[in-house]
Amino acid sequence: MTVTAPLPRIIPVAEDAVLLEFSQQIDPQLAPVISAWAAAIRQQLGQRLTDLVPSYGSITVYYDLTSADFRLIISLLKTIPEKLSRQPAQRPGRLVELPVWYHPSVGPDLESLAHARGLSPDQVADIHSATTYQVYALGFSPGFGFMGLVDPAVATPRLERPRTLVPAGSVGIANRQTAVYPSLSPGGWQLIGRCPTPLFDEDNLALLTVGDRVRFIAVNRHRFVELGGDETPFEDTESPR
Amino acid sequence: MTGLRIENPGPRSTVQDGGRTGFQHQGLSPGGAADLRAWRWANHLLGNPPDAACVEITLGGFAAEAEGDLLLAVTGASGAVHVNGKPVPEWGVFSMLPGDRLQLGAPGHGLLTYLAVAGGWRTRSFLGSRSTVAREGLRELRALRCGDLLPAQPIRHEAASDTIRRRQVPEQWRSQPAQPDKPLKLIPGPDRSQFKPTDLARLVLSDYRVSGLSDRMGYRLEGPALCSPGGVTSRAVNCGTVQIPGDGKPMVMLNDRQTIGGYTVPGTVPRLDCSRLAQCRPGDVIRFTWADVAECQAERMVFEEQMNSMSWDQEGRLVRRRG
Repeated sequence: MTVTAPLPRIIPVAEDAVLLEFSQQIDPQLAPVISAWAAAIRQQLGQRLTDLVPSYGSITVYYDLTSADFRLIISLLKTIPEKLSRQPAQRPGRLVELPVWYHPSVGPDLESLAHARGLSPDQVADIHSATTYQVYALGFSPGFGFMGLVDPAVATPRLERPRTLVPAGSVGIANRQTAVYPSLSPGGWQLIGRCPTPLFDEDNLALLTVGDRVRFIAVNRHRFVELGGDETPFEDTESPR
Repeated sequence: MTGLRIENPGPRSTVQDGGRTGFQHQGLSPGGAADLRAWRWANHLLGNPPDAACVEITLGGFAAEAEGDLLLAVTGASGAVHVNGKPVPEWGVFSMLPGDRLQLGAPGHGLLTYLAVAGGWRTRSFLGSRSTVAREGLRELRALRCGDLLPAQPIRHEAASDTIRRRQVPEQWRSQPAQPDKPLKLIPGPDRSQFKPTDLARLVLSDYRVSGLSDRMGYRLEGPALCSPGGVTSRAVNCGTVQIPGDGKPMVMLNDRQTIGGYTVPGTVPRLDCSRLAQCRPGDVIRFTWADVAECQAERMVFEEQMNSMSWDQEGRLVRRRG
């Protein structure tokens, strides 16, 4: 397998950033291509690179504009395909297993989602945990990994009114994406359970990396607590604004 | 410990430096001083490293007491800075003795005031930066509160010489809030072709008013809506990225933005123009004008070159460094 194709569209999007756009679609085949490009760009730009953000079908390269102008950066990026063609194909990303307690007390949308699809909550859990997901991007908050693709049988849109407080560990679905909220934050994804594994801490930083694969493992309440999970039931304390 | 004890942080005060770069791929927002020019000058006045941390004060209302001898500089939004009731020079240097009281009233114009201390504020550094992105909830990296102590290095005596207190940034180098007759530059964005030509024209021909729903994350603008072409697959959001959400009203993303987003992007405001936008208050009127990336990069390089080539002489005057 070669990781050189497709060639991205390269656009200087800011005075210190260049966007490489491979595709405007979500494409699981692209994940290893993006990972290979990201690694090669880090190597090629070295100290000139200040940040590199891979996401779904694109990579944004932030650079130190006192060390290179956009023309030089683009020229350097154009040498990447040749470099990649001389490298062995990348292995698939790391497989990370995340336990989830699928239960209405910590997944306030589990029952309504199950009901809407003519499924039982257990069936929703089975379907959600049957897929091995790809981590496409990190963003929204530190350590928040956007994963896909969720089985259409349980894919569901965001809530019309996002919640102002979603507890850390909450497992949510938004269309064909799924994620675990690393910290207490606002959020509009439909919540079906809770994960006891920390997704971000200040010593180890983010657990997930773009290109990783994730499998959710259904666990019961007892095991969830044993793994350090917080079983405090979700409370929708919000009054409509 | 030497430092400044906060009595009143005002509406919002945070410690900011050049931002937490290198971790956006983990979802960490870079943060950093929103007015690049004012922040850099505050450090320059004191001979600090260019990346030293300052306090970014929003709309004045700030009061604090010195614990120990301090040498400070103030830049940014103009006016109403007093020590023990006496005014201190704008965009200049001043000292405080133990027990002296610093007070900032509401600025005459502009929004953000930068307060630097000799050697930089010694608050917690995480991943190479002391910048605060309050919503991330990182340990000790939150907005300032009453009673907080901003730690500083004990002052060196030669540093406190009289001439250093004569330093003042000449008017022509100071940052100004954006104004309709000096439009914000806009680098064409990746989704420009998805907008109707009439909408792109509308974006640069209309007056936009800064909405009250504006903060360090982004500025929302009120004015003619663009027809939103819908979303795109999420990708990185830059400082200055203009997003067109469903309601068609442009949002300019700033330092505390989320690292990725899926709104369509007609263009990006370059960093020095983001600084001018960040000095605008709700209700202020701004305009956009197209500019190419080479021009914006050159303008930024000139700024960097000027900051590096200028220094202060023995009399406290700003001079171009020789050699």
